[in-house]
Amino acid sequence: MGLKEFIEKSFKKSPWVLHYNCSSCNGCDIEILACMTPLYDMERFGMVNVGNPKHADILVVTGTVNTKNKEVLKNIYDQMPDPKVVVAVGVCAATGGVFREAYNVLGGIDKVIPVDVYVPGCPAKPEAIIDGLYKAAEILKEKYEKMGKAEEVLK
Amino acid sequence: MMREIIIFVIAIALAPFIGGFLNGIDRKLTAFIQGRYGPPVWQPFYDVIKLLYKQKILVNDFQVFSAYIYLLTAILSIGLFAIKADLLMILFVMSVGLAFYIAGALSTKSPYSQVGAQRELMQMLAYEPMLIFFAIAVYNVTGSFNLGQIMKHGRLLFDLPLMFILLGLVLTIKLKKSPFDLSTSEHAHQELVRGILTDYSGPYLALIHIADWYEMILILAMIAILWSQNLLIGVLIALATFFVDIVIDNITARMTVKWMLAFSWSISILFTIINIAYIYFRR
Amino acid sequence: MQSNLLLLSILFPMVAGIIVFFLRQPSVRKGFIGVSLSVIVLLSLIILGSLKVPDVFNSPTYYNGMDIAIKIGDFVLLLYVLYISFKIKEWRATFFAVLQLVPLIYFEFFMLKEEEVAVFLVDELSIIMNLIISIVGSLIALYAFGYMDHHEEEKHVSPTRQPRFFAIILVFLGAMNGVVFSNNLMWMYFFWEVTTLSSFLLIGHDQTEETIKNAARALWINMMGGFALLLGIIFIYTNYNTVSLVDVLSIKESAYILLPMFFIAFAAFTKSAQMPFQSWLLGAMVAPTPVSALLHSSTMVKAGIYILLRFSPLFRGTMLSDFIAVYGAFTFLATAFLAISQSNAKRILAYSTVSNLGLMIASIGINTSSAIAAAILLLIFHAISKALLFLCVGTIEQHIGSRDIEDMKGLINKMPITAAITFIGILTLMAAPFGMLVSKWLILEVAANQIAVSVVLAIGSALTALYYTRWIGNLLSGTYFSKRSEEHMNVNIGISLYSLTVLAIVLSFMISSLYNMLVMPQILTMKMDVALKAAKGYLYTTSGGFMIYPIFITIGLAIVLSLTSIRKAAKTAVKVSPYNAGLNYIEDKGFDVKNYYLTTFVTEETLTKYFNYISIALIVVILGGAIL
Repeated sequence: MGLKEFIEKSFKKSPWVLHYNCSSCNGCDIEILACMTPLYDMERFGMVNVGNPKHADILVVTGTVNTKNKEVLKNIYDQMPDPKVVVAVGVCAATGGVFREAYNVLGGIDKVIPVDVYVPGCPAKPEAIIDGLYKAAEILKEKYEKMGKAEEVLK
Repeated sequence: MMREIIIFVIAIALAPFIGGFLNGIDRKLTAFIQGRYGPPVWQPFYDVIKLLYKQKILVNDFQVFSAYIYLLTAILSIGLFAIKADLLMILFVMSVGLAFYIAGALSTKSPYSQVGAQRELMQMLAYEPMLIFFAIAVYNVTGSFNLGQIMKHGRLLFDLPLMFILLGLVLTIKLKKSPFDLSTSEHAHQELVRGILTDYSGPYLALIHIADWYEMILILAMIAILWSQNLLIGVLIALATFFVDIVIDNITARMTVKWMLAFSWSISILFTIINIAYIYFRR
Repeated sequence: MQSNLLLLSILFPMVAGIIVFFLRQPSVRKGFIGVSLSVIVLLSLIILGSLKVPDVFNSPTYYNGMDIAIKIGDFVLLLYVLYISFKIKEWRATFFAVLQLVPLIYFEFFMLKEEEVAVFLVDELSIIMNLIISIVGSLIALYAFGYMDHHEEEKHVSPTRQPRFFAIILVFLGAMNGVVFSNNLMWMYFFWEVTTLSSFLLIGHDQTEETIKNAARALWINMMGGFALLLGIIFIYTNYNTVSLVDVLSIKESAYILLPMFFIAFAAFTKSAQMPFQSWLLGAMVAPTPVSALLHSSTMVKAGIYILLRFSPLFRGTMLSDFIAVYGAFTFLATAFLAISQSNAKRILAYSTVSNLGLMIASIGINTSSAIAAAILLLIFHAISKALLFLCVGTIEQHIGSRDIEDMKGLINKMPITAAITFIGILTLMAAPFGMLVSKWLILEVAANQIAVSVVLAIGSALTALYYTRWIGNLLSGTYFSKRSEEHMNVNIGISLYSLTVLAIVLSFMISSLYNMLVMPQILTMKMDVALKAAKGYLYTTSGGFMIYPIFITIGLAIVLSLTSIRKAAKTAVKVSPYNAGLNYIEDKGFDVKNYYLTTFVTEETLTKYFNYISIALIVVILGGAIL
């Protein structure tokens, strides 16, 4: 395995997850936390929950975007270094869910930032979330390949 | 001279691999204790390589310099250790890098990294004297600070049992393990985000991780020379200490800065004095 | 000829000072001072180059004249102090002045048999002190050109009091040279008192209530020290019938020497502001910054160290020496503790000065050849770095109107040059390849036998690193979005800051040649075996060695790598604001994180009280060591 392959593999094997609660009802959040418990143990795939967008590769968002928190969501997304992947967990994050018509709700988070993986459910099941995260890790690797300038960054 | 250069190069080339591997074992073992499956053993290498090739995002220029000097001084101290230089000098070299690491975090204006840096300063205050005490105690047994001469005394462990415990304590603080997990809030307790590391990101975070591996190896090597008669046994002792630290990490809760200072200072001064008295008693 | 050179180095600054006092035209005055300063520097270099040391200079023609002049000077000076103390109603100063006057009269008129002794004693230590006084002192005086103009403008002083200021500075430089060159102890005593007086006059320069109060405190404490010195000299004379330093140093039979040594050490403690006398040095920080830099960190407080070093062979290997080591180490630790609770930069520097002086005293107390070498190296490097830092703080204060390190946040954007120089200055004080740390390493190595001393030194070093690191962090804090501004530096201030920086770095780089050229011969002069050897940046003893070049190379490599990385990053990297929980980060707004000052368990007042008690007890112990 050459260095290039190893780097690419590293992106797939080490996705660090940032979880942002975008005014969710906490249902999905508890399920995300459940992913870290011994029963599901997402660290098997090298997924670590970090609290800092500057260290994160995958942004996991739960809940709907409203006029108040879209700035924060945008800021956090901007502070993540490339390559980065966004996972929308739960039906609220995907489409706005039952809150879609509320006066202050913009809708799903894809109204604010580009989303790569949608994990539906109300709340989403931990298995589904881990599956989504794994997909996200693969997308992360693809995105890195697309960046296609490993050598340039290396120099 | 030539031989020393070769040893120097081999040591600094080998150390990060051992350090990363130990870090992986640490994570695997922690997972085991917590009843999880855990990441693969070489997970730390994936992490570091990934970080190295992520995009650079910067807050100011000084943090770049800080990260580099922290890494380079850590490398230098391992190299100096390998060619058996002066123990105190190695500690001094190590502390230079640490000062920059902290100053770099302080210089970014994020409140999280500043609080983390202040806590790291307190951690430094807790373990820096202990390391110097260790050097002094070693001098009192061997009459030298030179590692070459120190290692002629085969079984320092019998002379310095308490200093060995202190080194274990240093290792716990240095690795930011519970109950001294103060400056980075290492274990997914995110009230400080990532503390001192908050604004170091991408490749620069990778440099700091590598530097941490070097420093871990340095402390372990210091433990290992306590049994320099047969370095294999020394290494085993060091590894045993490392495992005990992991266990302690998993069975304790985080304490406060104030407690850490009071605890580490009282223990270290007491142990040093008793141990040195013991050395003179044994003669 | 050569003794004339030495005489000139004492008298020339004094005469120049008196002339300056009468020069009212600013440009003429500055020109004259500038010329005098270059003459002083030149003189010190000539002395370094031409004198074969160690040497004693005997009975030139002017001995009697000088001696009488100094005797008269003694009385005039004490009477003047009496007058001052009445004027400012500082009765403790009166008390100690009278206390000195009485024995002085008795000693001069009834005891001292007039006989000619050698005039000057010159060895490497004197040369080192002379170089520090002349070069660092001149650079600081040069800095004062720019500083004092601004200072008087700020305080609306009119008519200008600068002639008085520079006159005292120049007289002080002469007096310091007198202290380090004199062979006759009575002469040394006279010059010692002149430095005390000039310190008093300079602290009170601004003539406000606070400055006069603090000046008065400095005066009485130092008069107490002067009294101790006089007592020491009288005791030496009663036991050994000599006031010649050379003869005193060659005393073999040391039964009666320890008590006078205690008094001389006591004088050194007061001059070097050791615990519990540190209050005068802290009070002295109200003086204009060049004064703090010159008198209260780099030269005058070093007179105490000088005199202790000078007499150190006489108490080598005694209990007195051991106790002095413990006492010095205690001061080192205690003042380092006090410094961490401070946010006022000048007070931090003052405490750290006292702390480092304590370190020097500790290593003199350890009194092995390597320890003495460490003390001398520390003396040199501390003088330069501390002077530099004081001058930086002065410059910063004049720009931002504060000397609080919390207010220095982001200084690198407001005053890039000064902040960078301050950063380098702090590095030379606390980071490894630089001279200060090499000396500290040496002290730790030689102290390792004495557990009490070494344990204390280890903790003290960590504390030192603490308060300097967070200062660096504050200085350099900033983001890419911070507002930047250009800095315009006064030419004189610039020259002096740059030269001191270069001096600090270059001397650290050449530490082995410095050691071989000046310090090692001094060890030999003091008739000790040289345990520490140095070659090509490698200092080593039998028990260990310190290489400075690898560390310099590492730092250089780090600079190169980070510069390339930053240059590369200019294209690809994103410049972001610091992490602020996703909220928009607004520069200089909202929250503020302060340093930990540990004020919950380190409060200056209570700690000072307890530390003072302990240190007084330690001084009593030293006295016990002298008597027993």
